[in-house]
Amino acid sequence: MSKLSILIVEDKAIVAENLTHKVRQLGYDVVGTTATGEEAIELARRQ
Amino acid sequence: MFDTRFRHLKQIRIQSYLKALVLACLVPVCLSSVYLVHHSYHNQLTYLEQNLLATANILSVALDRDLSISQASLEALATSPALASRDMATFHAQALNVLKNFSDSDIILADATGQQIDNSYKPFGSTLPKRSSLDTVRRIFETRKPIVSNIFKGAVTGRYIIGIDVPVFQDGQVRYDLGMTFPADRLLALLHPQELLDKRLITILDSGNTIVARSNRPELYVGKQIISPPLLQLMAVANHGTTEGFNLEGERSTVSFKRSEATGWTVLVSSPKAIMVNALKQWLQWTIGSLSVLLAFGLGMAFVITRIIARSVQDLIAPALALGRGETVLPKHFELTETNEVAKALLLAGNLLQEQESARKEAENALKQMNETLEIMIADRTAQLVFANETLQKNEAQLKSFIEQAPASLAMFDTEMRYLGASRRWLSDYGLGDRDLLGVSHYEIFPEIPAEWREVHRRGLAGELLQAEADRFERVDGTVQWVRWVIQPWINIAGQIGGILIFTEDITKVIKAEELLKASLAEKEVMLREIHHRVKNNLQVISSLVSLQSDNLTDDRIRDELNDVRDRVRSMALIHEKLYQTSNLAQLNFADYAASLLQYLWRSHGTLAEKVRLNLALTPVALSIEAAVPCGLILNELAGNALKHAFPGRDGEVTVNLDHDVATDSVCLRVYDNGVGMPAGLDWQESKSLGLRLVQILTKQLCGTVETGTGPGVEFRITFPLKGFSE
Repeated sequence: MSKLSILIVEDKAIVAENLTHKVRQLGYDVVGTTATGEEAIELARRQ
Repeated sequence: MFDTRFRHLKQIRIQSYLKALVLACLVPVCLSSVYLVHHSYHNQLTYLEQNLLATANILSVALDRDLSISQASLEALATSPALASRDMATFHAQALNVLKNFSDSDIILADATGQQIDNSYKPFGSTLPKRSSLDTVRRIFETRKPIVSNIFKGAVTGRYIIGIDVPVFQDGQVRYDLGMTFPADRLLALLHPQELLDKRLITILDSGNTIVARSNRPELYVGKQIISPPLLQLMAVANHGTTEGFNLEGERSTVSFKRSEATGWTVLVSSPKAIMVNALKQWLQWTIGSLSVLLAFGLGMAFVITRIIARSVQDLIAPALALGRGETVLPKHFELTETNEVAKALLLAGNLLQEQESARKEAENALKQMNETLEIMIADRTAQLVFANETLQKNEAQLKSFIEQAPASLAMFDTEMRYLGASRRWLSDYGLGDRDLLGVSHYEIFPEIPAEWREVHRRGLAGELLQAEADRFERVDGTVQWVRWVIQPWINIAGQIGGILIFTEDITKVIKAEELLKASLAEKEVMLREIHHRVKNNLQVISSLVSLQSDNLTDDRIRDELNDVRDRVRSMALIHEKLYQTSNLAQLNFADYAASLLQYLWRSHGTLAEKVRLNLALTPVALSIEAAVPCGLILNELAGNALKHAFPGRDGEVTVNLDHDVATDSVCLRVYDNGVGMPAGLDWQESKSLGLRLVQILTKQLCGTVETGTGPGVEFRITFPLKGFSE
């Protein structure tokens, strides 16, 4: 089974960190975090 | 004497009217007389034409009879036995015997070659020549019928002669030509009885239109052809008729003709035109002459009558003038009855005038007395008026000063929008200085006043009361002025609208302050929203920090406690999130908040929540932040307790109800489950659990009450008044 890749988009770093932690606990692969929507789209395109 | 108004009108004398009357009577008579003469002429002409034609018919019959007698005698002689036996001597004697009835005539017997066998003009036995008219002999033998010849000159006598020939039959064959000749003169006897009548001319023509006999001077015309073209044309197409033409004497005549069917001979009867025309002329002369006499007589009478009437009327002038001057006039006799009547009427009118004159004088005296009385009254009234006027002026001055000194912008106008008065405030508000506005038009001072304002003034003048709390008015220099105004019609003594009163207040400053306030308020709203947002963010960060902290712990009990802290902080963060999403920033919909909160709670306790169903029955209630924060925390504790403790290792359901009791204006939050319930003997009010202690403390903060259910599950009902928290 292929792991679902998740990108966290959140401008508050601590909140983002908490989310990353929780998502990983649930067994998903977090490929990165970013603060803005534009960056998120850019990153998603590169992946 | 006469009014000059009538000078331009036409004046007509009686004489003219009478002359016109005479003419009006006589002219139709003249016209009808001329018509009658004309009609009679035509009738006579028609009668003459008929008469001429009848005469021609009679003469034609007489001519036929005359010729047929000769022919019958010859036919009788042709059957003589002497001819059959060739006894010529006897035949000669018989022929002479026949001729006794026809004077100047001769009988000739000829054979087929035209050789005369016997001639009564010569003694029997004489040597005789051939017939001169061989053509006639040939035709007798060919046609075997009697022939009447045209006129011809006799070979022996040299006279104009007419011949009648009959065939002599023997054994069915024509053996001889038996002819009789007689001079044309004989026929004149037929014409004589008609000759004298109306100078008529009678002419007999043979079938070749040669004149055989003529009533006037036959010696000149017998043997000649007639040449009148209209007559010849008519004769060519008809056997009788009437036309006009010139006779052989050159007179213009009316001529009728009749042609005999038996002989082809024609009788002409003509009458000279001059006779008719003369008769007509006589008629006309008589008519015109008698009418002229009548006309002259009529006009003469008109003149005489006019003189009589005019004199009578003019006689009235002197008495009438005397009456006009008021002199006494004695009755007088006039020639005409009508004039007498007018004279009497004039006298009567004079008397009436005198009576009226005396009545007028009396009335004048009465009027004079009345005038004197009136003058006294007027003097009294004038004094009263002067006093009233003074009072009025005083009042007016008071009113003027009242308007001038009124502490408001006030102006009074008449119906033409001219100033009757204005307060000083008005003058200063509109920058009019010390100008004297009385009688000046408002529009003259402010030509920039727009059409809609003028319309408002018009409506005010029509009786409407108009006002506006704030009206924008842009001045010529571009500055904007806000004005509160009232326009109201004022009523004059007569009860009619005398004009309008305008009251205005420059509220530009108030409006501008209001605008500033609004801007400041909007700015504050933005700031508040931003603060809520930041508070929410900060609380979210705190919640995340606690969560991260708890993840690092191995001790389950401490981790759970930290997670409780996380949930409590999040319940507060959600309040601020919901608040900055609302429009008014002061209140939020608690039903919407509760649904979101419980959703978060269930999600963050994933494994537990799988077995526990959540039932929501939430009535929308608006709560202020003061009530929403404690109420949110209470809900978080109660629902969290039920989720975490009610169902150890089993399924179940948690129900949350939110109600608003309108009667008591209170909110009831009810959380219950169908779980295992409180441990036996536990008094929740004495519990060391932070969660239950929080419920107690926060309910107290809300001035509310807590009730619990009897089981089997756990039930909490929190009721708190809305008042004091919803505003």
